[in-house]
This record gives sequence, structure tokens and C-alpha cells, in this order.
Amino acid sequence: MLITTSAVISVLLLIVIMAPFFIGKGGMLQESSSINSTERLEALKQAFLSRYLQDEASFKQGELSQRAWDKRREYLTHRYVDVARRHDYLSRTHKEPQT
Amino acid sequence: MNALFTLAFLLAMVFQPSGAQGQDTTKPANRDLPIENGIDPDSRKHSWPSEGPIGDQFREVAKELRCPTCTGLSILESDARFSVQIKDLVKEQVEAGKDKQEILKFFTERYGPWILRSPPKTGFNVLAWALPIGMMLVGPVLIWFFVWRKRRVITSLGVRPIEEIVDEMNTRLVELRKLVSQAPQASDKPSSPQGGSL
Repeated sequence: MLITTSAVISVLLLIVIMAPFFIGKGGMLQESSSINSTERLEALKQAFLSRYLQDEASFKQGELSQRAWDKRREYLTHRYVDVARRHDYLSRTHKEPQT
Repeated sequence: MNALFTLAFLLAMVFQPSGAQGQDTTKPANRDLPIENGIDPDSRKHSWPSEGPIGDQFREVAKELRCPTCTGLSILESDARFSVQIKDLVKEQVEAGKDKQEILKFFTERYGPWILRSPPKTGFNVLAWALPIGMMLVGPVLIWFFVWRKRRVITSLGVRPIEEIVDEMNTRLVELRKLVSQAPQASDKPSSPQGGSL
């Protein structure tokens, strides 16, 4: 009984924790290596840039602290690099499988 | 999410193992053990050499031998019954004029290399000494090699270096800022020209 309850709770927790990586808005947390469409990758790059400018504006208006902005900028840059590298790989190897 | 954590906490409280419930923490967990808990009550009656060359040699040998019933202690630091017996033997042998290696060999033949606190630097046991040092020396080189090889493979697949991608990102950000500043001030927040907001 205890083991079953623990297992059910563990699985539920795992689903709650992992869900944003699969169903997050705009695929922002989705790993780039799982995306096989250059169009989608380009859209993601654009989305990261847009989010970067939004957060930059928030920082300039004092809505974000310096620390939070630094973290956000670092995160968005890393994600942009990640997506761009995948985009490079797909576009230069001419592989365009369906998503 | 909070409700889920609360539920998990409550379930864990309800279904905790029965042994953990109502346990009297003021009493020892294992009541079958004697009060002395393996310590020889007569250990204070024993005396071991503490001064002069014999005392030095006794301590040097005793700190090399493992207490079988303790965790991480030498027989020198332990008053357990078994340690007391071994210390008596060490004392006898030191007083009989045997040197450190002979005494350690005596115990190794009797109990195996396990009785030594540090593995002997011979045969297969050399690995226990050489491996950590070797990994410390070779490890950084291996890590550098694998990172270098991965970078080389990635570059050969047409993926740009990170610096180039960051430059591209900065260039595009400058262009986007220009676009946003030229656009009618309909909103305070900049929006993506391609509608790719997250």
C-alpha cells in the first residue's frame, strides 16, 4: 500500500515537473535537438529576440532587478545559441524531416 | 501544486513505517547490546608502552592496524575488546624486538590485508594508490580532448562557433530595436515583427 502510494505520488510529481518542457507556451523550454523544422527554429529564434527586448524594456522601467535581468539575459542567450546551432545543423546538412 | 505537496506530506505522515511511530528516542535503539557496547570494561587495566623507542614503535604499528569492530578507527584509538587483544599482541611483539614490517606481516598473514588501514603498495593493491593520482593527472587532459573533439565534429557539420551566433544575435537585436523605435508607439512593450512572442 505504501509502495503503491509512493509510486503514484512520484509519477504525478514527475509529470508536473516535466510537463512544462513538453507543453510550455511556444516550446520555450523544449530541447532544440528535438525540433526538426528550420521554420520552427527560426520562429523560436525570433521569439527569443522579442522576449529579450521585452525583458530589457522591463529592466529599463525598473520592473526587473539587475540580478533578474542578468539571469534572464543569460538564459535567453543560451537558448538562442542552442536553437541557432540546431538550425545551422539542419540547414547545412539539408535534412528537413517532418516534425 | 501546493495542494499536491500537502497531500504527499500528509500521506507520508500517515503511512510512515510502524517502527518510526512512537519510538522512544531517549533509549538506545538496540537494547540487546551491553551497556559497554563492545568496549572492553577491563581495558583500563591494560597498559601499553607510551614512552621511549618502544612506545614510539608501538604507536606507529598500532595506528596502522584497523579496529575490526569500529568504523574508520585504528586499534590505537579504540578500546573495543578486539582492539585491546590486538594491542596486547602488538605490545608483546614490540617488546620481543620485532620491527614494524614483521609485526604488520604477522597480522596480515593472520587476518589478511584487510587488517591494514592502508592497502599495501604491492600487486593489485597498487591500483588503489595509482588510480586516483593517475586520474588527477590524466583526467583534465581527457576532458580537454573530448571537448576539443566534439567541437571539431560540430564545426565539421557546419555549426557556427558560439561567438558567431552571439554576434548574429546582437546584430539582430540592434535591427529589432530600430524597428521598434520606428514603429508607432501603440504599446509600451516591443513586439516581434514576425509575431513570434512567447
